[in-house]
Amino acid sequence: MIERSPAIASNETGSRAALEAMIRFENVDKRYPGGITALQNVSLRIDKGELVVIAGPSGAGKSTLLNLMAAIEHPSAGRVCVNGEVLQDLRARSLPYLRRQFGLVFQDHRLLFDRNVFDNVALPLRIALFSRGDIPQRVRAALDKVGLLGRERTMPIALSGGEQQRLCIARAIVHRPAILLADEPTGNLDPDYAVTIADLFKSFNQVGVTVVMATHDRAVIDRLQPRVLRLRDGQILEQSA
Amino acid sequence: MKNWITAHGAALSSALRRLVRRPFASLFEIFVLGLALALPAGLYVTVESVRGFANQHPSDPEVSVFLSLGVTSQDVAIVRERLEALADVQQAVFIPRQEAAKSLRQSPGLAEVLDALPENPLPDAFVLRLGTQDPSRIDALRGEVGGWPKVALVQADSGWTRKVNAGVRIAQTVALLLGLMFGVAALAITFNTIRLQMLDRRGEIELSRLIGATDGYIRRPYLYLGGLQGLLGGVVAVAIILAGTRALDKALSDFSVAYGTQVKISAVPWEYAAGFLGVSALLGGMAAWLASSRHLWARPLR
Repeated sequence: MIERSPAIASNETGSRAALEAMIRFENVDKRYPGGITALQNVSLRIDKGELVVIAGPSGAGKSTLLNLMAAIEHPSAGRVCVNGEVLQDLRARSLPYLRRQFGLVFQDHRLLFDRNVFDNVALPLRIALFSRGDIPQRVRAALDKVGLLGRERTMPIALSGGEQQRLCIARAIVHRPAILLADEPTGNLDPDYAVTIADLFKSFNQVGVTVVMATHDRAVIDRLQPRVLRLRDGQILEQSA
Repeated sequence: MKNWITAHGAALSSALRRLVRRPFASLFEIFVLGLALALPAGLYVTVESVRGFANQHPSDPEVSVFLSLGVTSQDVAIVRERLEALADVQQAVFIPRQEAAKSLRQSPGLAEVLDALPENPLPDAFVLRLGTQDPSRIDALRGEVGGWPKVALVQADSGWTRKVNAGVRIAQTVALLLGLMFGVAALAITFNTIRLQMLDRRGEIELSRLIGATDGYIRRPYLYLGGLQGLLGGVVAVAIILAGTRALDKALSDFSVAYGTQVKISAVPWEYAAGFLGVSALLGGMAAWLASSRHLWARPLR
């Protein structure tokens, strides 16, 4: 787990050059077939241990930006660099190992409804070939963090929307990723739950995890006090510290 | 290493769970696979048995030279000398008339016939083993020897074994072609099963790839599933062949006795059965590999 240094916590612009970049975009374009431009000439830098929110209205390109960071999509032009790796240069067989450094929180949760809570959370550990002895302990720790400890045998269908979202977060953090990427994690939640989820992300960031979250929820942004990248029509309008 | 073994153990148990989760569909697929594998394999076993039977009877041209009744031992020696001088004759075995009568007595019903006759009606004979299979040369030899003094009759009687052998060769080719066709059919059955299973679990597969699963990790349980299906299909096929040969053996035995011979369907040796099961499992695994590769390559993640 990365320990967060005071320098990162302060987020001082002057010291940024000295910090190690976790994610770097250089003049990135993303165009889809049919001439749709999702991102245009985007350059950005996210340092290790930062908490960044990508804000903007629907269709601004927030999800595309996250997909490019997670190596789910290819940029049409420019360079995307994650943890020192240029994604375009990465061989296909190396991709899964890069992805294991991420924790992904999906807007639609993507839970396995034929598996119980334990098996859903254990999935990334099994994929990364963690030892069988380690798995229960790590799963319980992740469930404890999201307040679902004791629900291991419950099927996801029996959970509320908020609990399903927390289950998705537990799955994203169980293998202690270096980067947590969350796409509208509070999108379908009522305001109270949204604040709880925001606090969860803040707590992960406080122990050194780089957190990048796409949201248009004003309350969440106010609660987290993050660096905000404001997107509109595929371009970064402003970056606030 | 321990984790690698654990991963394979988990893939195998996942494959078993998938088989058990849909018992009727799994049984049906395994049975169809078994049938597809049993047909060519069963035909091959039958053909091999008939070939074994034909091998017991010489297929090389064999010519019998019957001498006139009342020949002297000197006449026999002259004929032997002339026969052995012929280029196409590899061996000339003399069968005295007493020996021939003794042999004939062993055939059911013929002992009484021989006893009823005032004297042994059989002539002395030579059985020639030839070094050629060319029908025209055999005919020429028959004509030449038939014209010698003290030679009553020359008979070439290898035609039927040659026909059996030719039939066996055709049947072997048919079995091989059927084996290929049904092998492809077995491959297609497993391919389709795995394809449908992967389509059914495409959400899980996509999620696993997003969170760092390698293609090998995704593929592994399906490879085990295909291999298991192939193996169990092979077991069904072996069971069908064993039951089939047992039923056919009795019928064929009765039939062959009527023709004064003994045809038996050979038992399938356990090495063959084990090899067959291995090939079936391999076929299943191959089909699974093809189906899973097609699924993964058709849906690249970026």
